[in-house]
Amino acid sequence: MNDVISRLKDATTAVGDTISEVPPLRLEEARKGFLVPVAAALAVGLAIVGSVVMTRGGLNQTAASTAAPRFIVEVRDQSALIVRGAGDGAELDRVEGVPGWLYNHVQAAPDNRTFYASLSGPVRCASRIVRFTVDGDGRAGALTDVPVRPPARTRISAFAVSGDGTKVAYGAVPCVTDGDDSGYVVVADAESGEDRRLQVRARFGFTSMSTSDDGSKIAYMTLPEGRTVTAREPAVVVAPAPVRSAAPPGMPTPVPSPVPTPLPSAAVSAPPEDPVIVPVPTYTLSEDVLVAPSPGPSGNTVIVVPSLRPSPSGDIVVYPAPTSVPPTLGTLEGVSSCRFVALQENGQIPVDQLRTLDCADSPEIYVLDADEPGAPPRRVVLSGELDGAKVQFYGVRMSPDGTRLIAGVSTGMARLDDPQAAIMAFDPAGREPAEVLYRGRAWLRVLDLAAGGSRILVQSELEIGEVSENAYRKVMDIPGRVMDGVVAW
Amino acid sequence: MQAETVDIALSSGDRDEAISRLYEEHALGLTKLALIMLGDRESAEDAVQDAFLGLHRRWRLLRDPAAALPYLRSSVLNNARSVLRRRRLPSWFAGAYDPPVWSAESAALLGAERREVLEALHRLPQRQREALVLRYYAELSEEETAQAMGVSRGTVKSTTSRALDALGRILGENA
Repeated sequence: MNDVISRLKDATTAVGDTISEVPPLRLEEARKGFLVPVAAALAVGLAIVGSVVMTRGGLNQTAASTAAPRFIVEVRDQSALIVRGAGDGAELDRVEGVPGWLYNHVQAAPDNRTFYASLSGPVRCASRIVRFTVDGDGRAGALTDVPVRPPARTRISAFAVSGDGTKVAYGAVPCVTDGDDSGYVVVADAESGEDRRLQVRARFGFTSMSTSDDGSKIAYMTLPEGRTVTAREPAVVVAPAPVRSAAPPGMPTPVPSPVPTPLPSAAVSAPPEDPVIVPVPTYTLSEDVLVAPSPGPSGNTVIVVPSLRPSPSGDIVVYPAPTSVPPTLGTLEGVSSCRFVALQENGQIPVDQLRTLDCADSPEIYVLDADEPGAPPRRVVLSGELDGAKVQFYGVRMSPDGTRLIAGVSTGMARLDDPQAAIMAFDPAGREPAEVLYRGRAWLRVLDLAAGGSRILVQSELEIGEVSENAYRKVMDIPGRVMDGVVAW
Repeated sequence: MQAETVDIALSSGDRDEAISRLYEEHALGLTKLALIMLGDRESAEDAVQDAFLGLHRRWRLLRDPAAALPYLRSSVLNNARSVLRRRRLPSWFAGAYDPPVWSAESAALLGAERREVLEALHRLPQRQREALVLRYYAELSEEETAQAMGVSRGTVKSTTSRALDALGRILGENA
């Protein structure tokens, strides 16, 4: 054996010694270059395709409570929990991190006074869930541990608290690489920690986990393995206002030249009659779901680094990313379904702005009946249309009565003046047609449902807001895409 | 490569300087480690570069200065796994990469015997390979190896033992 070790040391040292220097550190790269996980569904369970018919209707919930939430809790940079007023988003209190641990996700109990947060620990397999309460002024109390014990070799990936606050459902994924792809959906008693575990295939993580009020129905998505793809930001069309009518929704602008060219300054000061297509740089989005030793919030969110090129001015129409992708990459839904929104300032794109990219979630949702021990989760593929165009999905939550999946949807268009987005309700059993609960904003992502389900916390463009009774109310401005599970009310 | 304690400042103001210092001290060793895992220098350098960029992004969350180097080791391993996973995908997605430095076409300096060991090492399951390289090339303790791999110390011990047996068998078969 010592001979094997000696030979191993000798050979590996010889390989290591083939290099004696490394290239300089390129810290500027830290501000660009991200990855988009593209849906590569690993289908398990029973497939039920929920083809839907468009109707317009109201929220039909068995509302346990319709009282407006008073507080929103946000995970801030994994290092703290911020308690905010639900009215205006003002910060009321802050719960600092636990040394060596990072916050991942947050959930609210139906009383809107008790909040739960999941954390990952200093070593990869360490994870836990804590609980704290806030008083009437939003001041947070001390953290206490929820006695959940993830299965061996796993960590908590996403979690949800039942509407009655008695159960914690969480997804547990392998935290070691040994070829075992098994994950678990665990339903635990919030007080005793006693749990039931169902083994499922979920190697890379869970997201969008939610439960019915009584905890008997659990909905979740699984994360696909990350891939590196190249996404091209849509063309920006600089033209006088009438051009908008010349390019109606559903009429994609010509795909820009793959070679970006700066806009001549003359074109900015004197817009021509025909629209000028301004190609913008191609961004290579690169990040792997498993890259980080200490996994953070999941999601396919990025802030695209600003272009240093001259910025156009005039009326700005932002179109979706081209649906055709380079043939070498095959068909990648994630490329064509990403929405881009630019920070706007007086109708112009400032030189140093950030653009926010939001890619659609997978339409595949898994629904588990926790009252049927051992029953496999059902695979539900959501499908719907808005104005005849197929929609993509942006955030999904289960309704309190367990009969509907509430989702933000969009056709992929990102014209700020033509909202092709909605909040829709889908029947996971595929028997009832989908309902439109709300239309009126250009970009809607479901973040959370309040108790009773009649108040929906959403991201809309660069705001967090509330949708209720077919109306939208802004809560606060935000700088970019909100990842799944990092705000709750 | 012995275990080391890293003395770094944690304020965000000198983040770039502290990370640059870490890079000066450890990038070469980490790149060698990645090279042994991946076989080609470009991928190895990228894996290390990405690890440092990840540390840069998470700098504010780093509560313990001594955690920086274990983070980097673990991140380099993760990045290497990602590269190896992509190489298993169809070539149109994974792209081209150079043959390993120990391959016949590029390892004239290493010699046949070392090449045989390295090829045997890369026939082992990924976790066994990582355990051997961390323990016997990087000379990490069982505890440090466990931390880098995200497994328990006992797993490191048993995995290393099985890996040595397997490596010995492969080399014996080739003898």
